[in-house]
Amino acid sequence: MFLDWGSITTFYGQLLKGAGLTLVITGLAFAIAIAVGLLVCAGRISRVAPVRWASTVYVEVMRNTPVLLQIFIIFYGLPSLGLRFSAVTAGVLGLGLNVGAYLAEIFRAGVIAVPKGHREAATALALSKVQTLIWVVIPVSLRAVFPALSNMFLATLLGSSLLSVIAVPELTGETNEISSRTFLTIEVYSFSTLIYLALTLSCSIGLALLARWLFPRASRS
Amino acid sequence: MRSILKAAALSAAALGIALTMAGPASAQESRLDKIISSKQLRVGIILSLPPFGMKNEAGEPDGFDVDVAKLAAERLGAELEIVDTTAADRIPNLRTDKVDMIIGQFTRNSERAKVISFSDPYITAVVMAIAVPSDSTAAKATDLDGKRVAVIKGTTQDAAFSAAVPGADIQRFDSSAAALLALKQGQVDAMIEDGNFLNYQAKLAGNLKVIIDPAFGNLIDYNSIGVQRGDQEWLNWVNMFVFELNTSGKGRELYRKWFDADMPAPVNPQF
Amino acid sequence: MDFTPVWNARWLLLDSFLTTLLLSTIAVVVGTLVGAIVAVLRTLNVGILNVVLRAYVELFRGTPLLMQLFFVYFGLPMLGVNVDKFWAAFSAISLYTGAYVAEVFRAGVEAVPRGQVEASTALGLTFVQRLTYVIAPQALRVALPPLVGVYVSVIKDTSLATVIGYNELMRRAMELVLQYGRPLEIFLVVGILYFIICFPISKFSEWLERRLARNGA
Repeated sequence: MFLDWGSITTFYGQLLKGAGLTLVITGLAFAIAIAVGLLVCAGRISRVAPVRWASTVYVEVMRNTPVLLQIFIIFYGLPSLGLRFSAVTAGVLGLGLNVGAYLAEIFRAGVIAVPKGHREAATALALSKVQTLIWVVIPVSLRAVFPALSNMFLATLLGSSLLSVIAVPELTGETNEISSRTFLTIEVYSFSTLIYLALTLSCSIGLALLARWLFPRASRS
Repeated sequence: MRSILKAAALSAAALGIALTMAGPASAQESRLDKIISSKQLRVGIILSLPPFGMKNEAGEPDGFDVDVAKLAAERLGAELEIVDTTAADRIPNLRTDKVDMIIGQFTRNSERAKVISFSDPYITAVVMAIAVPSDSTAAKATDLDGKRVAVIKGTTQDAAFSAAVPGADIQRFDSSAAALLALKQGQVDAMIEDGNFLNYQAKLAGNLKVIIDPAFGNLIDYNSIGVQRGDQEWLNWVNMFVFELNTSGKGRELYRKWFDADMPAPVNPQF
Repeated sequence: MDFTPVWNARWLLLDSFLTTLLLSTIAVVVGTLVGAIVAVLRTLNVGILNVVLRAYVELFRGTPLLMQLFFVYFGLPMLGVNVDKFWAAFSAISLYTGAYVAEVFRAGVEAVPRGQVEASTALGLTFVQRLTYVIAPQALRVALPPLVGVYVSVIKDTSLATVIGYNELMRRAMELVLQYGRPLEIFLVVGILYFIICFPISKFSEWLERRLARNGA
């Protein structure tokens, strides 16, 4: 058994294209997750009991079953009900709905993290409800939950590899394709491992810089 | 942040060192002797490829390839251990010594023969059959231009169909099972696999039909048993086993048992 | 909705469910051991060792479990280690879990006030004594809720072993769907099976967390 590192140069293009799709999927899924997370978070703290219950059931079901199963249900199961999504859409939706449940809980913790005094002070300053939300609640809670949000973004990036199972040609899918066609198994998996490490590292560095820019040191408590 | 980068660089380096230390695997004694003395035969079979390999209602492996494997174990006087595999796993399984042979509808070609060895053919198949829903109007491969077509990663069908119909929206799945399920659920418009597999599936499903494009009709696969490269004695035995399977009529008998039909072509190639 | 196929296959499903539980249990135990060892070694603060351990944690937390499974299953044998499906699934999931557990424990260790560690050093306690009497009891209390949370992920993550053909619950579900159709019904039942295991453990983790918040670290 010998390793043939030279041959994988042929597949750089295919792998980088896969990595590009991985990033696109991650971005789209995370955008869906934020929307779902905000909605479900609002439901979780709603005064209407049935809304609260439904949101709680959503969060618990999504967090306590495998995301792979959720993707399978959307891609293979929903067509039985006449609902059809392409593999990419099904995967992005599955990933986004799943991560959304986690984000809902993170947002809820963020809202709770805003000290009561802040809100009272805002009222005393005659800020409206919307103003309080925009200028007090969101900045304070965003800072509190930003590290957790960053972690979930990275989890979404890694989770996007699951889409390979329903034939989406993202990085893991392309790696499997090259491996099964050329038998350069070890070479191509090592190389893709490095790409994933590069992606997660640059994303975490990017998010850290974003945090520094969003929350300057001077105003840190 | 610098320490993150340092850790990343180091993990990359550690990976590199581990990989360059990979030494050559040594093999002196023939696998044949090993199997005879240990009375253990490990056969890789695709158990997600009915009726070649599947699990019956009792959860036991069953199918055409399983029957062939049982016969081989019987001739060797060995106990049969079936290792479940997928189309894409077949060569890695052999290369990494997880199995002694693969009985998994293996198509022979000179590219694959650089990496593993093949026995004489034990079954024939139409290479490029197309399964579509019964109400589909497609009659040949080019009708699938612009349509979603499922193929299996790394297979002969993928290479041939991709070249023949470059305009098709090709979806590459890891296993026949995943692709078939996508076809049944309407997630793809067609699926390319070998004729034996698809004919059997269409018979089971009822709402699928199989079309053979005349342009591909003469492409016959002479599928054979795959073994590791570099063990001629073991390959000799496997060839002798296949010869007996073919000449005794046992092979044809098994085919009729599972497909209720005759093989699409004789196992001795006609040029 | 027609649940007859699911009911007919109940013993097959139960059998695979037990396989999933077995794989999860072993991965949890071994992953925790690996994580604990890594965390303890990191408290030693030996330069080179620290970087190596850090590299392990970053490598396994920075790449998808799916890739790790493929890599272990097809890669390890080429490095001279022969692994079957169970060993591949078990070792990949355990190593992956170990990296996350190590981080949970590290956070626990960091929650122990520095002054206490310095004080116990000043009192002449050895490293092992410091670890056993000062660091571990406090670190474990902090680490327990997230640790249990990691265990829930492990149970769900065993579903990925289906990609290397390991016959756990997810793989059995695919087989049944192919044989009988009815994907929605079969996947729903499989979801319920995962849920009845994961939900109580999640709740337990949340309860531990609330108790910790109430009693203080």
